[in-house]
Amino acid sequence: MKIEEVIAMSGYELSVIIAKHCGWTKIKHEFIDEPHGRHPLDANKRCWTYCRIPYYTHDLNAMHEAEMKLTEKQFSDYVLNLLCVLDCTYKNAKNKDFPPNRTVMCAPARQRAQAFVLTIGEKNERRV
Amino acid sequence: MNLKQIQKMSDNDLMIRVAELGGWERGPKEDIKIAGLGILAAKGMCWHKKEEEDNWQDNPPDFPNDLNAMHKVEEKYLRTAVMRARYQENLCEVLRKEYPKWTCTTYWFATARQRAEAFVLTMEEKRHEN
Repeated sequence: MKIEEVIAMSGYELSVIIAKHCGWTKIKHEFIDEPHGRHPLDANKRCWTYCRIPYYTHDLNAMHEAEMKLTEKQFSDYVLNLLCVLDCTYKNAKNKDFPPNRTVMCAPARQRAQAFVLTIGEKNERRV
Repeated sequence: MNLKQIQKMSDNDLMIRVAELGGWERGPKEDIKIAGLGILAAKGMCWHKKEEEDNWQDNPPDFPNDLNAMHKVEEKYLRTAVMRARYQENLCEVLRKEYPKWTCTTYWFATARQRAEAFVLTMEEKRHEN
């Protein structure tokens, strides 16, 4: 998956990919606007209730939980991908006050989600 | 206030300190009464953002447990490169005490509580300078 493709994805598309990686199952969004699925903790139970998956691109708390699920190797890839995503995002930004290493600390949920999807994707293509 | 004192604070105390430093204030200044119904809002029992005086809430956001709330405060108060650099240093200091084996990227993924501690330390330092 190329970085440009990931950046062009909608918030829900990114959220569905991350939710699947975090153990959500039976995710559906054909009949309802917001994607719903079965919570990871309910996966082995016969519970047929569905709830809304976390909106990872808007929720840093949910993203933080997802980050904790990365392996050590994935985590180092994620750090590099986050730098690349921020570089791409802010390349054309008007406000260039902050060098990239400062903005990573306060990276918004959307950029973290994009880096996460790049990390768990099979074919990573970074542009540094 | 130094880091040791900040780290000893409870989540509730830290939430109030971040709120005070992050543009929230207690209110109202006087009891708000409605004839026949009694007190609608007791003096000093609610919170509001300084720029939104009519938007009362029972509590400020739960800063030590909510990364989204901390992110909004960071965006608003750490706008200059100098402030961000100080915040980063303080965040590293917080993490260094908690994780002796920290790496240079650990602070990127700091929890809300760690960020709240670093924020209070940064704003207190700035307040003392002024």
